[in-house]
Amino acid sequence: MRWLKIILGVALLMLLGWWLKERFFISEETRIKRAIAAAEQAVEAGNLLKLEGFIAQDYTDHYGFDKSTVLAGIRQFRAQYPKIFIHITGMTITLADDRQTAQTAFIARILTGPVDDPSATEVRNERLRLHLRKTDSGWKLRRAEAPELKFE
Amino acid sequence: MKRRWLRFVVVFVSVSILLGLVGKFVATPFLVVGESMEPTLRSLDLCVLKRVRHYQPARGDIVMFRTADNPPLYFIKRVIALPGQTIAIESGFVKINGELLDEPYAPPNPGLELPATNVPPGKVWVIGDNRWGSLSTMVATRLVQAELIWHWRWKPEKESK
Repeated sequence: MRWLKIILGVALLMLLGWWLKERFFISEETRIKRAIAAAEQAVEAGNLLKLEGFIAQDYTDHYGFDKSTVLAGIRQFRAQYPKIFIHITGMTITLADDRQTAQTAFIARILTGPVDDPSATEVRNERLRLHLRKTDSGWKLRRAEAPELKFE
Repeated sequence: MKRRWLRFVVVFVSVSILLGLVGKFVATPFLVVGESMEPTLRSLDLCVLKRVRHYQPARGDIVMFRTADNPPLYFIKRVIALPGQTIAIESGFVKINGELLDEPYAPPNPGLELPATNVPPGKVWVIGDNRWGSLSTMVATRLVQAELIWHWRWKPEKESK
């Protein structure tokens, strides 16, 4: 019983340490993860106002879209697919030496379709690379790419 | 009471470790994403794949492979050309070393063309059974992770309108 109490105590201390670190010593990587998670939730909820704040004014992507066109595209997509769920996995974050810009790559699994018709559920995987810039109001999305896949 | 609780923890941890090892080295579940393997596999079909360490290519195998990116994307496709063979697609019909390949699993897409391409050693040519919208590419065999052994279609069929 004694060793069980020790293990429990250590686990609790570790949990407390992790919570303190997350609360008071937030790394840039964590800030980026939170910004992307908030943007993901904004797309799921159709909250374009929140998403608009995340996208930089000089945004570009490899399709040639700018900020207004990408927001209009998302609005149209949300109108077409009222039910959407996004799951992000395998995120890697690379900060520049000056810690003012960063690149992140991840896999986004997107599920769409009406709730009442499971046969209409569509799912797709996308590999995305985002370029971000640090500003006074947090990390902003500067560029999005779907890089070419490597098979060798 | 204490012993029962302890036994539960031991069983839970053992089963989790065992499942993790089986998934890593023996067989792994995989959910099909997309329509590129239709009609053989439909989107959201549940597959069980046998893990392979050093893939020995065989034509017709349905394999799961990863991309060489970080993080990787996983695909499930059919192997149609082996190392050392030449593949060409003419009006949707696949030719291996100049001979027509019989493909009862894949209705041909007359618009699909591929000039004669040699598959070098250590690589295979893969393509989905849905020839109207599938990736068709050369893949290094070292990226092949698993082979299909079983699949289950749980999702109801779409009603035709």
